[in-house]
Amino acid sequence: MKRDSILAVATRGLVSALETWKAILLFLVLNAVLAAAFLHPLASALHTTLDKSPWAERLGAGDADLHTFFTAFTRTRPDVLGDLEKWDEVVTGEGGERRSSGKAAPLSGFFGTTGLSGSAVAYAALASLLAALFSGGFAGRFGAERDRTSLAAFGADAARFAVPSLLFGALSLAGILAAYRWVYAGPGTLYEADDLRYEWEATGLLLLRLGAFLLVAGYLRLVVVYARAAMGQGATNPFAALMSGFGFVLGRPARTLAIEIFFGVLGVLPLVAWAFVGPVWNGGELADFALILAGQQLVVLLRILTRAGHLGAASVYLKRSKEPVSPAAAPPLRVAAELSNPRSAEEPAAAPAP
Amino acid sequence: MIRLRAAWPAVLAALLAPARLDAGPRVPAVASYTIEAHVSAEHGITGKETVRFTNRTRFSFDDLRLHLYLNAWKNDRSTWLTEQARGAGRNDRGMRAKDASRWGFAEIHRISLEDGTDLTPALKYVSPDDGNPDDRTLVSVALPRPVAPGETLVFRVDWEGKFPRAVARTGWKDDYLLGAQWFPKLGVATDHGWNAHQFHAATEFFADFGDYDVTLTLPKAVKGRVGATGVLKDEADFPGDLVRVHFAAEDVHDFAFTACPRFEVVRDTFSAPGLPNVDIVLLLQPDHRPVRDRYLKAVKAGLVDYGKRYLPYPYPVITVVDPPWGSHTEGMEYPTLFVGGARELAPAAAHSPEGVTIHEFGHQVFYGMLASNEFEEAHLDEGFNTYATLRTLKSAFGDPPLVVRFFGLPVVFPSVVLPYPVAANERFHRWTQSSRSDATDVPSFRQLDGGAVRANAYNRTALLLASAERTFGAETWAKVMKTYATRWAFKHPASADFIAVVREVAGDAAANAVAGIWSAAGPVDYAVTSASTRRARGPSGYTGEGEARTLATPKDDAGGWESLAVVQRLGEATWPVEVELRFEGGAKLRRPWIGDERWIRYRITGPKLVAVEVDPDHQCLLDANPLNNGRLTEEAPEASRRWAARLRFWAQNALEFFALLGLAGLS
Repeated sequence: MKRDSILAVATRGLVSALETWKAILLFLVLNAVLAAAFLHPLASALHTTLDKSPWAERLGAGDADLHTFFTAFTRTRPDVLGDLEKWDEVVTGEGGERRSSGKAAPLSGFFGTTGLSGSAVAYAALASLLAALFSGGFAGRFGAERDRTSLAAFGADAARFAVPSLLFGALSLAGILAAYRWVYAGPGTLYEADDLRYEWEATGLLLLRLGAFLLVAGYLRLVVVYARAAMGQGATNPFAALMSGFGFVLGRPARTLAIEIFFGVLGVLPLVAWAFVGPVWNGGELADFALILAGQQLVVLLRILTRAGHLGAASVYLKRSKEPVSPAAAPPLRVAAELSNPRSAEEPAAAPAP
Repeated sequence: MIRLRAAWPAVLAALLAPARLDAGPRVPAVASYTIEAHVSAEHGITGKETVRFTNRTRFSFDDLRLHLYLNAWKNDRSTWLTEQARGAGRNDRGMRAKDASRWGFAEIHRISLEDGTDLTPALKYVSPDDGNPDDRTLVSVALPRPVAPGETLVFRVDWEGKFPRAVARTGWKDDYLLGAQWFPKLGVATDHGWNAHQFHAATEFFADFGDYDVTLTLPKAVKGRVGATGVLKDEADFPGDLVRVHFAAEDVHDFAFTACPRFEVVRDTFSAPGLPNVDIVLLLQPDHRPVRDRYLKAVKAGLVDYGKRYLPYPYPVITVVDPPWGSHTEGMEYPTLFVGGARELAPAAAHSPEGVTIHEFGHQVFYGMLASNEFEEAHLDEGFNTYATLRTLKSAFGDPPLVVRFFGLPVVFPSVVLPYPVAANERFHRWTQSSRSDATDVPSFRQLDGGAVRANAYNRTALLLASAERTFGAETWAKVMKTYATRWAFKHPASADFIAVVREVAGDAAANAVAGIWSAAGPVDYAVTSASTRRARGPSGYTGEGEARTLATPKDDAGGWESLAVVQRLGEATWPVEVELRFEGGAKLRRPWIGDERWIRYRITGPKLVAVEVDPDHQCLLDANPLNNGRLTEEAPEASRRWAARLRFWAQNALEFFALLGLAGLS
């Protein structure tokens, strides 16, 4: 395996991330606390609705009409879930579509939604803020090569890089939103999907816009990732770090993207596996709950590890690119000359000029 | 010789056509049309029609009322467009903001009697519904003398018009045209005069039965690819690079046609024991070839199920139009022709095009043959047909799973089942949550907005009929529907006629329940608001008199349990329900409750009460909140814990996902 191969870089990145296991565990705990706080209104509403209802028996027995339950719940408790339609539009791509009816601009009203739908935006921002702060710590530790397990050193790095980390985070967020607006949604306003002759043309254009958006967003992320890595390796000026990240990604667009995709897929795998084979707690046995909770946390942990691993890989890749290439030992220079006088057939040549 | 050869297919078709109308004898024609029209490549129409109106009422008509539906899109002052602009439309399909192609019109150049008397100077636009002086969708033409009962009047109309870029399921897109509501058309003659409304954004149509003989000339490119109401009698080239097609239909109340050079014409025949044979003509878009057989299977499922449960399809042919992408004509019915709708990526699990095909076919019964007034009582078509559609879909294809389109690509979630008919009518419950503006018996065109019309016409009535079937018995209800359909075919029934049939077949309770739901704007909502149980206690305090008076101290266990339960009617409407009391050990007790009172309290002594549930068999699908229908006497928190734990895990991943997206995240 070549030392600069994607697999080698990724493995080194994951190993680096494993070395910061205390920070990753801390991040997991904060993630769990945030999720619990986020879900609290919904969990309370479920208790209020279900605990003295025959629906609880039916749900427990697995013979409840889930569709009826959840539509009735969302309908009768709009205060809890809020307007899910906005999320639906974003997730399904409907939000960016111009329709003959004159649909509202993409993302309009999205940030003003109420209930869990609205607080999801705030919690996502909070989680991102937290992640941005942590990324400074990870970048610092990956750059330092030593004391990676030390939470104190991690905290010091997080504090040291807090401002640039948040700046990078804000840039990343603004860049991705702008890409959504101008790369995905913007071109969608230039044509009426209904005016196209065939549906495949409309679907093709939609996917093309989505692909372009994902590509741009991916590269924005990559620039930020490598800027963070550069910052961890001593680039004290955030602008210089950003330019360093930009230049690095620009010089290796395919390999950096391949690493991004590798970690993206790796991060989703544990979740997919859990979705298919993960057990479900019946709500009764506490021992089962503990076991299942541990499994769930392992899944999230692996995902966080993967995310940190990507930064680790970026740090490794960046560092290796800076290391000077040591020249191979040159064979002694010999010159063969043939003269009419055989006495001087072989003599050492003078050293070449530098 | 060439002409003779060209005529052979028509002669053969006429000879081979199956015997018609199993549903009854010929319907006495009220309004019959002979139309000759030219449709240009630019979607303009020039036409001449001869209308034969026979007054079969007790009313003398001193004018004619003619619909000019295409004027709904003449300009933005029309009633249709002003209603649409204020959100009163039933749908916004095809509405285009700033496009000249959106406009269309219809204009009468001359109207005259059979003897040549020119009535054109007596023509005036009328707006009986809203007084809108700018609306041009209805005209009145004063007659020199009234048309007396039993009399027949023949008149001729010369007109021109233009189809808009397809909107509200008429018009064109690219090389495709759906010609609907395109010719000057009489209102409905009743014993009280004309029943003729302006064209409204939220409602459809109403017309008298008659015969149609229509000859069209169209650009030659569509030769062999024209479909229309009735039977194709003849098709031949016509000078000017045109094709001339001749269609005829009997006992129908409208005429629509379609043409598209891309149509692939698929022919099939339906035959089933006890039902008349029907030729099926499917006009298919080439990119929808993969769903060809699904269209045909769905039509046949409709022909069988509707034929047996309501009325056999009596016409010799049914034409199914598969519209192109983005045409905004999908999902519409006309006599003997309907428009389906398919997607290129159409997983079988999604029941599309099956759903729209069966639904639009089903209109052949409720719109086509029963032909109720859709301006005023849209529910008699849309609601009845929605109920019938979902019934047929469920029996033929089962309940569908959730299908979500992500960026145009369908993804099937097999574990989430959307049960018919509840899931398909969820819109009604959402509407009652936010509006409750109108009862179903408010004339449809007068209801607050499109949401009210949709909720009342489609969903409330569909859920009502399904609830009635569950409550009063499937067999009884099948008899109600069959009696109603056969008795009132071709007679324009009203809601009262249906209620009378329900009363006759299923009894007063059923009739009152149906009438009650239609007359209430709000929903049904029953709730068990309290349920408690405790050990029976002996008396405390003084008991007995005189010498026998003793002071009793309370005893916690006097044997058995005392329980209390309160069931309330929170909704405006009522429905006959049962209340089930469940006891420890599995014993159950059921008590009927009509819900006329606001609440009922049950006091029970005996075994320990475990649960109380109103409508335990979920017969009433109109209940706005099924989650409050029951109550346990003791908490069972396992289900909420279980779901909260699951959701918490997914929330963790969702929060983590924002790092993946790079929203200032980890990497």
